[in-house]
Amino acid sequence: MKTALSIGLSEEAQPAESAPMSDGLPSESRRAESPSLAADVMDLVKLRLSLLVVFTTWLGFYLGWQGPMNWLLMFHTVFGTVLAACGAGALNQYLEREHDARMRRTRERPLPSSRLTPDTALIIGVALSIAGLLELAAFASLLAAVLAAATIVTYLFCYTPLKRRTSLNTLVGAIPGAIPPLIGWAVATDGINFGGWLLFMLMFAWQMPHFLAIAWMYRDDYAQAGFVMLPGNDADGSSTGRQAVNYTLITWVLGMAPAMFGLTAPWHAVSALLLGAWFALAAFRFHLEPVQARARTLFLVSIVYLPLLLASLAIFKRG
Amino acid sequence: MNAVRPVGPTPEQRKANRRVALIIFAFAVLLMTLVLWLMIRAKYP
Repeated sequence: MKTALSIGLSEEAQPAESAPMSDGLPSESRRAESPSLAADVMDLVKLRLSLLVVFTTWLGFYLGWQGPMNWLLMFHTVFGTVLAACGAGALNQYLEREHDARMRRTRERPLPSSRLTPDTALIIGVALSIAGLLELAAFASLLAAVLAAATIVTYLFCYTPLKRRTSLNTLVGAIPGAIPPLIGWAVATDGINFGGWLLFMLMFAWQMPHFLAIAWMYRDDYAQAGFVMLPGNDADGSSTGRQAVNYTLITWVLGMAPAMFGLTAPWHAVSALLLGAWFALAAFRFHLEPVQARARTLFLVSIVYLPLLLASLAIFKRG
Repeated sequence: MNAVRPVGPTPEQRKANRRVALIIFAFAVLLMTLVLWLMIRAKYP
């Protein structure tokens, strides 16, 4: 759960085979394959993940908005959030640069591989974060800016340090991961009401099996870098599997909840029922046999589940 | 000598797995009932 402000947040989730494997390459070919400055900056700000944030923030806005769409307000909300997300991503890499260097999955990032200097990352991170917060405060709403600031703070100063202290870090890290749709909702409804919290809880619960699967897949890598993740202390995977099942059950109910409370048409409950069953079964199979392949399947199901569920929410939205 | 190696889950694990499967099944039934109720309520408000 290295992601702030991001769902899907799966920068961790690079498939194992696509992890940097350049050790065997001669140095010339490694140089020849060096990413450009633009690619490094995009990597630093976790652009791909930050764009996922756009989607959840947009969705929160869209679900909360009633009446003819205010496209300009939507743009400011989404743009401000993505700027803040990019800033948080860069600041996270700045804070984590020494630990990233110890993990195979992250050691080719721009900072550990010295393609960008820490000062550059710090400046980019601070500038983007401030720009995002100002954009939200000036053109969206003050509440949205406060929520974005809370996301950055919990991500950088609560979750990041806790990663090396307790396996409960995942629960803390799920908070900044669940706020972006709430930002969109808060602007659209000019406050945070029940629907917004429902969206927050759904995002929160969904992240747990998602990250448990990732933490299981990369448990050796995490342990080597000094991160305390649940699977690191769970040799046979029984606890990880059980927790994955529990959280998919919670996600199942929360996924259907918008239909129960009349925020969407009843048809959403049908798609959420089927999608939730699929997600829960993937977790159950992982629980039965906690092996790499099943953790990977659970991870893949989680990243297909969420966009489909959110699409169903958008399609069957009321009002 | 033919050493016998245990294969697959232990009886305790089987029991635990069955319990988890039952819980998931109960959830499925509960949620399907809920969907049905939502549909009926939508059709006959």
